[in-house]
Amino acid sequence: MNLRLHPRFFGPRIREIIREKVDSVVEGSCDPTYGFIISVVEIISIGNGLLDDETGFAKFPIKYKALVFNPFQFEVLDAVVISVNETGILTEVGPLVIFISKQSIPEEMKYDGESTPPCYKNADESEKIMNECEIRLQIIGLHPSKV
Amino acid sequence: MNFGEFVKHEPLMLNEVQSILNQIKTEQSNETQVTNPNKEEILNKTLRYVKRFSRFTDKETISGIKVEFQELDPIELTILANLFPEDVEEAKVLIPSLAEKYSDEEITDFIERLHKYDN
Repeated sequence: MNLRLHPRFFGPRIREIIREKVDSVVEGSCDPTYGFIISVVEIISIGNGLLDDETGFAKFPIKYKALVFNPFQFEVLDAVVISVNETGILTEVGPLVIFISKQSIPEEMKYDGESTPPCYKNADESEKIMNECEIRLQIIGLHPSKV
Repeated sequence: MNFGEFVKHEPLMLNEVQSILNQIKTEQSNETQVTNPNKEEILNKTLRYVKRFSRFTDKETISGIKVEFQELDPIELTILANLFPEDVEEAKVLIPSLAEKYSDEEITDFIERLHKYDN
C-alpha cells in the first residue's frame, strides 16, 4: 500500500508513526482483492518517501504481511445462524455475513414463524435450523459493502 | 474451482488462525494505545468463529498433517482439514479440484490418513 503522511509527523519517531498509521488504516477494513484484513502481522519494508510538492505530504510505499479472510465464490464454509425469517436465513462466518435466500434452501425445509424460536424445519421435525445452529453452506455470490 | 488471488498467499487452518489471534490479543492487552473499534469487532468475531470450529487442538498435530500431506496443494489440504469430509463423495463435492486430480481410492486414502489425526 501507499501511505500519505502529513509533514507534522516527520521526525525521529517517523517509523513508529508509520507503523501505527498502517495499522489504523488497514486493520478492520475490507479490501475487494484481499478480503477482510484482520490484523497486520509484520511490516516488511517502508520505502523511501516521495514528497508531493503541492500538498507537502510524503507518500511511502509500504510492504506488509497481514492475516486476511478472503472468501471466494463456490467456497464451502461452516457458518453460524444469526437470524431466521420467511425470506431466508442470515448467517455469519467470522466478520462475513452470508444471506441464504429461501430459493437456495432445500425444499423440504419450511419456515415456521409460529414456533419459539422461529426456525426452518422439515416435515417430521428431525431437522431444524434456528439461531445459533451451525450449518455448512456454499458461497454463490459475493459483493463488498462499506463496513 | 478458481481460488483467484488467494493462490499467492499462505492458507491457514482454523487452529493456526486461533493461535495467531490469541497472540495478537495478548500483545494488545499489553499495549496502552486505543485500537480502532472496527478492528476490535472483526478480530473478536473471527476469534469466536475459529474457536468454535477448530478441530485440531495442538501445533504438533498441524505440523504432522502438513508434513504427511506434502503431495497435496496447500489450499486443498487446508480446506480438507477445515471441513473434514467423512467420505469420498463428500470430499469431491466440497473440493471439486480433488476429483480432477486424484482417483477415488487416493482420496479415500487421504481421508483415512487425516482422520487418524482427529482427537
